[in-house]
Amino acid sequence: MPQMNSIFQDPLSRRHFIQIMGASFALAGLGSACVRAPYEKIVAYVDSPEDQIPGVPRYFASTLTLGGFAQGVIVETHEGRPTKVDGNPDHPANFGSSDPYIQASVLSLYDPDRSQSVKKNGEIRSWDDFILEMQNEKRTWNQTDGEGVCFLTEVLTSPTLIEQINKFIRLFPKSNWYQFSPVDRKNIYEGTNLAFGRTLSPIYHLQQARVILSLDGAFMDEGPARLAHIRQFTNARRVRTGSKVMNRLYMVEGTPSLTGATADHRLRLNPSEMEAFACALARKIGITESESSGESKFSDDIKKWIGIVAHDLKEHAGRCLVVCGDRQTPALHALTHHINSALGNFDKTVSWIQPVESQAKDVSSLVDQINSRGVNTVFILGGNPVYCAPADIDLKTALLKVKNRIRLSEYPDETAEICQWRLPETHALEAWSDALAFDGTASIAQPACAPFYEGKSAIEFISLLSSQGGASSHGLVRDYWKNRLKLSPFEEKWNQILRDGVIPQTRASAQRPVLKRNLPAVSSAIPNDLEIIFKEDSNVYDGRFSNNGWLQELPRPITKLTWTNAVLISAETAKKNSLENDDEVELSVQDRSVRGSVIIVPGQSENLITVHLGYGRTQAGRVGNRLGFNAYTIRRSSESYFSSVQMLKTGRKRPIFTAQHHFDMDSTKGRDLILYGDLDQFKQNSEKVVRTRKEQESLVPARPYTGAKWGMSIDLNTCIGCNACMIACQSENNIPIVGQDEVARGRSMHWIRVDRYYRGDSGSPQFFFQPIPCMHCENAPCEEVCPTAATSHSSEGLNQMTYNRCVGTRFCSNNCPYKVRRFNFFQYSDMKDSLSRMSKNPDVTVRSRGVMEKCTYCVQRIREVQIRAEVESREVRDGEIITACQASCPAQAIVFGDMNDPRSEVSKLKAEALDYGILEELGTRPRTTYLAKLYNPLPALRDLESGGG
Amino acid sequence: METALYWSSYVTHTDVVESQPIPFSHKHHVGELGLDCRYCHSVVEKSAYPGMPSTHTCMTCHSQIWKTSPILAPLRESYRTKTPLIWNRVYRLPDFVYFNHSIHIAKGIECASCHGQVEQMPLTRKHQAFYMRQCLDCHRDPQRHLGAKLMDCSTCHR
Repeated sequence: MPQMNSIFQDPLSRRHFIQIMGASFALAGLGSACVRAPYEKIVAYVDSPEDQIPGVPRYFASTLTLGGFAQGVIVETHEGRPTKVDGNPDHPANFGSSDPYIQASVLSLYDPDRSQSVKKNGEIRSWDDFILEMQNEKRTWNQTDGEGVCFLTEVLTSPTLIEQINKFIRLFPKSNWYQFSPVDRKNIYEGTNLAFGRTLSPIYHLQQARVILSLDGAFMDEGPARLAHIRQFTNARRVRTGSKVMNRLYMVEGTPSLTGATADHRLRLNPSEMEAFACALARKIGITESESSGESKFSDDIKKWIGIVAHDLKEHAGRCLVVCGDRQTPALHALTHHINSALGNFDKTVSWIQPVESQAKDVSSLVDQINSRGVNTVFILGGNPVYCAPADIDLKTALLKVKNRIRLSEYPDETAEICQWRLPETHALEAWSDALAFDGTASIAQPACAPFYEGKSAIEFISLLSSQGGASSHGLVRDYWKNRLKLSPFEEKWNQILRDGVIPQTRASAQRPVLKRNLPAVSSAIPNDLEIIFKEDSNVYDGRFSNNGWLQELPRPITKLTWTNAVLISAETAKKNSLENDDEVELSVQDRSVRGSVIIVPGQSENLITVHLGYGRTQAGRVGNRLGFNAYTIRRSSESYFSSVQMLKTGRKRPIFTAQHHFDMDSTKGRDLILYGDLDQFKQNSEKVVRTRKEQESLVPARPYTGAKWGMSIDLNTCIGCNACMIACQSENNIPIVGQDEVARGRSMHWIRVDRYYRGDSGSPQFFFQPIPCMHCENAPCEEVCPTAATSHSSEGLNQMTYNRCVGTRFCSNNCPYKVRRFNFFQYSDMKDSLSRMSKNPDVTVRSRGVMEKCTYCVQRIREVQIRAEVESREVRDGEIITACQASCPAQAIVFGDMNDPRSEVSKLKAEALDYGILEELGTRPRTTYLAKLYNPLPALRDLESGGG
Repeated sequence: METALYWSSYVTHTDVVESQPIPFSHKHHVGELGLDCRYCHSVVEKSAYPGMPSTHTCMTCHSQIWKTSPILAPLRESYRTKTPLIWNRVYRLPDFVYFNHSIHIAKGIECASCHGQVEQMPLTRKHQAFYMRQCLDCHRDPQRHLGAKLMDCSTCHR
C-alpha cells in the first residue's frame, strides 16, 4: 500500500495533482479558522425576473448533440447557473434518461480551460478585429465567388446551421464544405447503397423483436439511438409476476461490449470473420446456396451454433431482428438487410428513413483540394480534425499550406494550435441551436445561461461571415423555424415548443425500399494474423471529453480503467506473447506505431486487440493532457474500424489505473452477491433462483415507522452497467474527483459504484453488473460504531450522515460490509474558486477534508418534495421523489419509494419472487435490494456451449 | 470562559446594528405603515429563502413619495444605473444547515418566533443568535411536534 501522504512528499506529483484539481474543481481550500461567522452580503435584484423564485430551481428543455445527433435534455438552473442536466422525457432518443456524456456536460461548461477570448497568433484580439479582417477578405471573395474558401465541420444535423452554411455557399458559389467525424456512419450508408441502391438509415424496433442476433453491433453502447435501444430492449426483458416473458439476444462480437455482456448467448469472433459468419447464416436461412471460403475455417461448434440460431430466427420470422455493427463493412450491412428481409422483419422490427445528417464532401477531398487547386481560407468549426484525422491523411501538413486558418472551438485544442485565428465557441448550454435525433425528430437547443466568455456559436459565426454584423443565434433559430413551420399563432406555439423541447411532427417518414436481387459479394479472405479494433471511448468519446474530470475518473464499464486507455487483449494472446497487465507493447499498422499498456480482458476474442480513441492528447487542457496513447496515429481511413496489426513487447512496464478491486465485497468467496438463473428454471420454481427469505432473529428491537419508510429496488435483469447513475450522482451530490494517483490508492469518491463480476472461463465468461449505493441498512453496522453520532438512523429509515458532527475516525467505513462509505483524505472539493462554486448543487453540502460521506438516497430531493407536499397540505405521491441515479437510468432499473405504502412501485418490486438483499446473512436488513438476473437461453445452444465451447 | 466568549454578542453579533446602504426602518414600514412582511419578502411562502425586495419594489412607492430624500439617493442611483443594492446580512446560518422558510410559514410559525419584534426596530438588528439549541427547542416541543421526522438529523443537514 502506498504511503498515505506520498503525493505531498513528491513535489512533481503534488504539482500535477493540484493542477488537475484546479481544472476540475477540487483545489485545496485553506479555510480560515475564525471564531466569528463571516460577514456576508445580500445582493438584491434591481428588477426581479419574472417567474424566478430565489431558492427554487428552474428547468429548461434543451438539446445536446454527440456526433451531430440530438439527445433531449432538461437543464436545472439555480438563479441562472446550470447545475444538472437530465434527459427530456418527451424526446424520442432518450425518453428522459441520460448517459455519462449528458450528465457530465455541465462540468465542461464550468471548465476553466475553455477558450475564453479571441486570439490571433497567440495574442488577444477582439471579434471586431476579426470581422474587420474578414471584410477585407470578403472583397476578394466577391470577385472570385469565394474560390479557395472552405468550411470543415463535423457531421451536422442542425437545420439552422446547415441553412447558414448553404446560404454562405449560395453567396459565394465556389466555396466548399467538407466534413469529418472520426466516428461516422459511412458504412451504414454504403451498405444500404449496396442492398437497395439508395442511401437509407435503419430504425430498429427492438420491443417487437423476440429474438435478436447482433453481428458486431453494440446497439446499446454506440450510435445515436443507443439510449432508445436500451429502453426498448430492457422493456422486453422485464420479468414480473404475471409477465414472465423475455426477449433473447445472441451476440457475435470480438471485444466485450455492454450489449454483449447482456446477451443470453455470446460468441467470440473477430470483426473480419463476420462476413463469413453472415454468409453461413444466410445459407441456413435459405437465401443463398453458395458457401463462402471463409466459412471453412469455422469450427464444427460454430457451424452448429449458426444452425441453431438460424433455426430460432426462422421460428420467429417477423418477430426477430438481425443487427449489424454500425462501422462493420458495407457488404455485411447489405447481407444483414437481405437476411432481415428474408425473415420478414421489414416494417416490423426494422424500418427505413432517409439519413438525417448533413452530406458534405469528405476531409480527404479537402486535402486533395489543398494540394491540387490550393485553398486560401479554411474555417474549421467544431470537432478536432487535426487530432482525429486518419493517419494516412496528413491533414496537418495540408492545412499549414492554407493562408488563412480560422478555428472556432470550445477548447484551444490541437487543431486550434495550428490556426492563426482561435475563436472561442459557446458551450451547448450557452447558445441557441437545433438538432435532429436519430429518427429525424427536431428539437431546439435552448441556452440555460448567457455565455461566460466571448464565445459565439457556429450559427452566429457563419451569420457573421455572410451578413453585415451578424445576427443573434436566438433570432436565427427562431426565424428558421418560423419560416419552416408556418405556425399560427406563432408566438404561442413556439413557446410550447420551447417548453416541450421537441418540435412535433418532424420525425422522418418511413421509406419502403426494394432490395436488389443479388446478394453482395463478401470478402473471402480471413487474415490469420492479429487484428485491431478502433473504438470510441465510453467516457471521452473521440477525445472531446478529455478535459472532463468526471468522465476521466469514471471506471469504464468492463475494464474498470480510469484516466487512461489501454491495449485490450485476450488471455490467450497474453499467454502466447508472454504478456501480463501493465506490460508496454508497441502496436504497428504498416509504417506507423504507438505504445500502450496491456490489459487482459475476459471475453476478448483470441488474436484481437482493442484500443480506444480519444487519448494521448497534448492540447486538451490541464486534466486531459498526456494521458494514455493516441490510437489515431495508427488508424487508417480505409480501415477505420479494424485492420491487421503487429504487436511487440517492449519489455517496459507502464502501470494503468483501474478501479477493479476497489471496495471489493467478494474477497470472501462463497457470498451470494449476484443471484441469477434461467427464465425456464425460474418459471418452474422461483426457489431455484432466489431462496425465500427466513425472517432473521435480531437482538435489536424493531423500530416503528409511522410515516414513510424509504427503500430502493435495483433490477439486475435490466441494468446493463452503463454508468449513467454514477455521473448523475456525482453531479447531483457535489462529489469531487480525486485524480489518478488517488484512484490508484483506492480513494475514488463515487457514492454509487457499478461492480462488475465474471463467471465462467476467461474466454467466454458471463458478465454481471451490480450498482451499489448505500444499502441504508435497518440494522446499520456503521451507526453502531460512530463515536460522535454523525451517522444515525432517521425516523424514515434513512441512514443519515451529518457532516458537521463527523470527526473522521473512519470506524463506520471499516464496519460497513458493503464498502459504500467514502472518506475525504484531502480537501478534494474546491470551496474557493468562483467557477467551481457556481457549478455546485446549492442543496447539498460541499464536504471538507477529514469527513466521511456516502449515498443519502438524495435526501435533499426527499426533503424538497416533502416540504412542497406539506406546504400544499397533501401526501407525497408515489414516484414524486426520484433519486438522481433513478432519473438517469436508461433501463429504468432503479426504483425508489415508500415501503410503508403497499401500493408503491418499490413495495411491489420488493414483493417479487426475484427480490433479494446482499449479505443479508449479516443481519443488516438492507433497504436497497435487488431483483435477480435472468437469462433466456435456448436449451439446445446451452447444451452445445456447456458441452463443447 | 471560552463558552462565554462564544455566546457573547461580540461573537454572535446579537443586537448589533449592521451598517446598510440605506438605513431602512422596519419600525416605520411595518409598525407604523402596516406593510405586510410578504410585500417585500415576497417568496417566503414558496421558497427556502424569504427573498429580498428588488429596487423596483421600493420604487413602487418611492418614485412617488420621498422622491428627493437624500437618504434614498442610493436607491434612486440603483434604479437609474440598474446596479443592485448590496445589503449586509443580519442572520446567517452555516452552509451545512438547510433552513426552509416556506414550510415554517405554512405550519404557522410566525416570523417573530425567530426574528423578534422586527416591527419595533428602527434599524434592523439580530434578535437572537441562531444556535441549534433554539431549533431543537421548537422541534422537540410536543405542543408543536408535527411528526417524528422533525428530530432527524437530515431534516436540516444534508
